[in-house]
Amino acid sequence: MESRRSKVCGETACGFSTSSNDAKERVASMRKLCFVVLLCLLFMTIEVVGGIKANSLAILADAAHLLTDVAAFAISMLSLWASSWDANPRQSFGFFRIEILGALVSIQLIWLLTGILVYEAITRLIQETNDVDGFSMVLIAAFGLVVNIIMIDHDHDHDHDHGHGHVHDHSHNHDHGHGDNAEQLLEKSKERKNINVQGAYLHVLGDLLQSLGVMIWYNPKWKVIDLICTLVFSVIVLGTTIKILRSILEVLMESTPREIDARQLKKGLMEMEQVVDVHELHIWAITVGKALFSCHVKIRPEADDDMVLNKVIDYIWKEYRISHVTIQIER
Amino acid sequence: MERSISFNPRFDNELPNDRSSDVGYATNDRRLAYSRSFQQSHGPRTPAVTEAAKPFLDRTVSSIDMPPEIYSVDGNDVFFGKGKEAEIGKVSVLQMVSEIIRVLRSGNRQMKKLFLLISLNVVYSTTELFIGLFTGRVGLVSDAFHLTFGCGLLTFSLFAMATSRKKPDHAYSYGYKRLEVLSAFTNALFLMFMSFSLAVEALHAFIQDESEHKHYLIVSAVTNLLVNLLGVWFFRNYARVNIVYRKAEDMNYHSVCLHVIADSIRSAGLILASWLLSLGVENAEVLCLGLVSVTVFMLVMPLFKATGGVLLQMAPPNIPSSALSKCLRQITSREDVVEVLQARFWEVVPGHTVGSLRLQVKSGIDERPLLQYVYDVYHDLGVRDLTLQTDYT
Repeated sequence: MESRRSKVCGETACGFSTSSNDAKERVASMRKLCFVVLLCLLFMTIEVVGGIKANSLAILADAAHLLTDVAAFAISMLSLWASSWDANPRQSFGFFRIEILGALVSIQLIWLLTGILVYEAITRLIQETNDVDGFSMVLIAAFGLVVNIIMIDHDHDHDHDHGHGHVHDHSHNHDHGHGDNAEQLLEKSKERKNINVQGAYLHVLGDLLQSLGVMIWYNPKWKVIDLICTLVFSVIVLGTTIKILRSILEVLMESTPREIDARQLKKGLMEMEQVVDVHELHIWAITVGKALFSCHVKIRPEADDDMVLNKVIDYIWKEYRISHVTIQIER
Repeated sequence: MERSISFNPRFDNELPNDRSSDVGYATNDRRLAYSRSFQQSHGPRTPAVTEAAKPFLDRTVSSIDMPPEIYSVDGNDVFFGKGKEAEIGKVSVLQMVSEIIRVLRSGNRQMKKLFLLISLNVVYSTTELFIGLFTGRVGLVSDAFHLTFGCGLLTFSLFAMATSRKKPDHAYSYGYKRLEVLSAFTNALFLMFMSFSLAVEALHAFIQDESEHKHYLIVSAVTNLLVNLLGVWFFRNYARVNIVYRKAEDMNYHSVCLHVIADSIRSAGLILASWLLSLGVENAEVLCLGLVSVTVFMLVMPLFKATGGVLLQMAPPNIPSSALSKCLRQITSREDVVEVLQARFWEVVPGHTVGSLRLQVKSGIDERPLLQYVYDVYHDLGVRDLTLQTDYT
């Protein structure tokens, strides 16, 4: 009984200190982001040099845009790194939340940049000045497109490998009796990318779409098409951010994670014989994928506290894979 | 599902001038706040206490609002009046429009003021945008965009104020109040972005060394300044840099106030820059923009840190760590407690602290007096929701 509880504790290491799986995932995500940042920096220097030589303001503006991208990636990397810090008394849950806040800042930056792009498209429409070298712009945009495709490809590939290998070990070790909920949860966790990498991915996607837009604008007579393209692509980019924004919002609002049904959990607990009532039930996530649980359980006067506590902890672990629980037994 | 019942004799938003003199506020709050589970597990206590346990008006309900519904057992969302719960992201357009109308009619005074401010801003920025588009003046268009961003954020604040009145349901077990903290954080973040972009603009003006001084911008800057000063007047109680946050709304209102203050500082900076330029002062624009950028940054930083702390689930800033360790020592000094395995405290919204403790106790003891003792100890600190797990050796 005691050994089981300490095993449960050891899964996420009570105190939320980082387990080896966490570290592996973090290193993989960092590596991905590093690659993307370096590629961006390289591309940006090429653009700056090319823009100065060709005396094209548009290319320099694009380089400035890339600089903001690098800033966004830097924020993502910073939050990934910060989330590995150890917990301290002021920050008792550790720093896992920082990656959520970092992702939020990143997404806000995307929104800001999209607004700036729309504004620039409108000013281009008004200003009627045509001193850009159309051909070199399209060339640079094409180059940018290729680079972005490389980055997206890199982002996608490695995730599936990592997710797959990890999950198979898990599903064989536990009972299959109560397994259905647990299987579902494992399935969902397979597809989950680190949220900062997701944010970086969206940035790159936005860049890609913008490069496409510039290339379509090859014929400078079609000015209105430029504006329309920019608007359409902006809407698309904003649409892609909605999903990640929703998960960020849910974590920050301390809501029950999507994959766990609180009502079913409460019903399952009430069905145990010694349990009379369950109240103050709270399930919330510290970051995507790490859930915590707390509740007050009222038991029959003659029941044994310790036994009920262990039963409840076991049930929650088996069915919902939540290892961090705090349960108050009352009579 | 229940949350703590709190009784606040002076909660209302109708007397904003009393806000600054809230010395006795905190002690009132702590003494009379009990959580219902505490009541249930320890039976009836003195009559005075059980009287205080009767549900009073929830403090977010203003006098204009509809009376609070009884919490439904299976978590149905009563606010929208429908059978199923309405998640934040899934509201249809028609629902939203009717919702907006209902909110306007039943909102508290601050919400109405905010709505007025937003509509003024929207009207102003659309006229500016159209004038800019038709006359081909880029400066007006950029100003209009900046205003639109600001409006969007203020609308989110308004939405947060409205939604935070919803009752907790099974998906959002702590309720929706935290949305106000989130909106305050978003506002603070936007203001930080604004200060960075102003710094970039100053740098740009410095490098280019030509003044982007356009006359028509003065008119728009003056109008902007007036509208924002009106906003500052509406939220004048929150026009401070460092505020002690006692409720969730405090953060939201503070962020809105800082937003309008920052905007008015920016307009004032633009006016000052053009005046100095007309006087012939070199680099006036760089100086003014730089000054505005630094000022806005310093204004926003405390709010940013405070909201970030709440969102990161940091230990409550109003409870010093010495008090927390003293409580832990008091608990471990009891003879039946072997050790404290885990003690975590965080704030859902400012003023509502939640704690979870794990104790290792000697086997065979009756946990009820221990439970009561721990609750008492933390209650004095203001921790209203506590979950205590006792592991027997």
